[in-house]
Amino acid sequence: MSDSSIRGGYARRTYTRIIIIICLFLLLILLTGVAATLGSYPIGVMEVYGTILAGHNGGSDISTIVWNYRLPRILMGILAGAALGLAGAMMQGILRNPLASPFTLGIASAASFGASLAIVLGAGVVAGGSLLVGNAFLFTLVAAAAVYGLAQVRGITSETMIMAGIAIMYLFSAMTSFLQYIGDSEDVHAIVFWMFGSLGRSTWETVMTVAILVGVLLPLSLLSARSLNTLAAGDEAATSLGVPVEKIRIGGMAGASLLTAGVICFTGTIGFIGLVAPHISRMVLGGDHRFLLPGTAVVGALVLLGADSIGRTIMTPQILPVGIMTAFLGVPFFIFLFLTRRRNYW
Amino acid sequence: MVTIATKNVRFSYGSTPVLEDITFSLDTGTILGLVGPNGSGKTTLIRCIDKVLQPEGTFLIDERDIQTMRRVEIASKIGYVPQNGARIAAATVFDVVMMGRTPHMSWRLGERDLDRIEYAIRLLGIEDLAERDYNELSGGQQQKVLIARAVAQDPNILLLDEPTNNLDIHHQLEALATIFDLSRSTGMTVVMAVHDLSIAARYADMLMMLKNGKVVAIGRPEDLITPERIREIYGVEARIFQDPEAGLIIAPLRAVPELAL
Repeated sequence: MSDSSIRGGYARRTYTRIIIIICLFLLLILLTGVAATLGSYPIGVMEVYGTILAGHNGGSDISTIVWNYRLPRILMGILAGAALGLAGAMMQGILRNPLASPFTLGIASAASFGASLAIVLGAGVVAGGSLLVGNAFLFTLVAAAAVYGLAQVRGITSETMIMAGIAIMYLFSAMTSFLQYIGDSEDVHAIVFWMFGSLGRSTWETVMTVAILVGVLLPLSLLSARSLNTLAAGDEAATSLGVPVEKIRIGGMAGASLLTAGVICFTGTIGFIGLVAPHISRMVLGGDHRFLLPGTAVVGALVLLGADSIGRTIMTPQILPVGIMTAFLGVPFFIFLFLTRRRNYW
Repeated sequence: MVTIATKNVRFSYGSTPVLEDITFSLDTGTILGLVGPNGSGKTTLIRCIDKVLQPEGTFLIDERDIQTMRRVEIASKIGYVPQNGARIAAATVFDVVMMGRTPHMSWRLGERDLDRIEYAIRLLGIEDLAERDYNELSGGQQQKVLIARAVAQDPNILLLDEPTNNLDIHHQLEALATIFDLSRSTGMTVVMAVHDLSIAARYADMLMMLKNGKVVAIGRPEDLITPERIREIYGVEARIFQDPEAGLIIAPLRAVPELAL
């Protein structure tokens, strides 16, 4: 082997990974343009980009449609996908478990319970939904705190956190079932509909809220990327290498919980993205979290926006909830990658 | 110079004492072999030196109390090669060796980090494996990667827990010769738990014999290894030969029934 081959190999792989992330990002911009053309009012792709670049002047019909109706939904899809993907990658990293996702710690079932409670108590979707959003957010944080409290008794390891998470998940599921049992049929319908997950309720305010969340937590998660890499070698080896294992685990859990709670309190539960986006990007980019975390955010955005775009068009005028579409779109792609990539990546 | 000094170190898991009254000091550049039967406390002692476990008693590293040292500081002084067997998800050999730079590197991999990683990979002769997945390697290859990770860490003290586990005799000799040369050329202090007494005697400057968490004896291998001691510690009758090249050879003959001890 030549003198610089080890270095050269690393430089080459770094270069490739950056190129891949840039390509994924360009793909996302393309998909954004295409997604904005979809709908009952026909607009061309170039018109869409022109309208977006022209800014929100509100002059023409096209500008109103793009800026007031289509962009909030599209941006919410991008941000929600990025947040859920990122949360999933962090959970899989800190728990060192390929089956972990933002929902492993009972976050989704807690959010469902919070929303159900708001619906049954009567505030519901009709009253602007602020009680519903607040409740869903609050209960996800309650779940995360409960998991932390339970796990902390025996030491914050991946096993204790998963055990505590499963217990909390079943508890909240049972409580949601109970609410559905005692609620009237209208409430039950509203609860079930909420749990499908949908981007239909997106507004510029919700978009900005999630944007701030992602804008703060993505850079923070990148700061912990090296520690997450080393954590893959096991708690003891990571401790020995100077990684503050418990701090990283608690911080990662808090970050992933906030990201998930911040998204699903507005959209309802959107599963699968958080589980699969990290796997897709790990298969393409490898396990280095410095590349994996931003890559997963872009892949999550692509999958969610793609799923919503198909959900909006495949059965027009019916719009399928994105929570249902993500699995239909993501599973075949995931299985394809899983079967064609030989690397024993997990 | 004394690199490691301990006084009355004790450790217990719950109420079960695992180490009792461990007192020793180790000069810089010495290779110390820890020997003793299963459960004698070798691994626990290694983990205490690395402060992965928190023992009672005095523990000095480079004449500083380990209790007052920050985790990153310890990580930049002490490299630890655990017994292998743990899978490392989605990591190439390069990625695993790069982990050794954790206490040193910033977010980006600097020139010094790359130099050290390259040095470690070459020292262990695993250039060809650099881009392979860690989980795909054989146990022996993984062991070398873990040693390379500790070398990349650039420590003053290297701790190895059964570094020859999973290795065939060719790779056992190769791995230990590498560690031996590294210690001699850089003055690195080495503490390693080794099962094979002949191997331990050949590569270690000093041996520490442990039984039931206590130090039975500490000293140069040729003074320490006698048929009486082996009987006392392992409950095994053994014959000891001296080979001009291989050094001490311990040939176990038969296990002594527990009651006769």
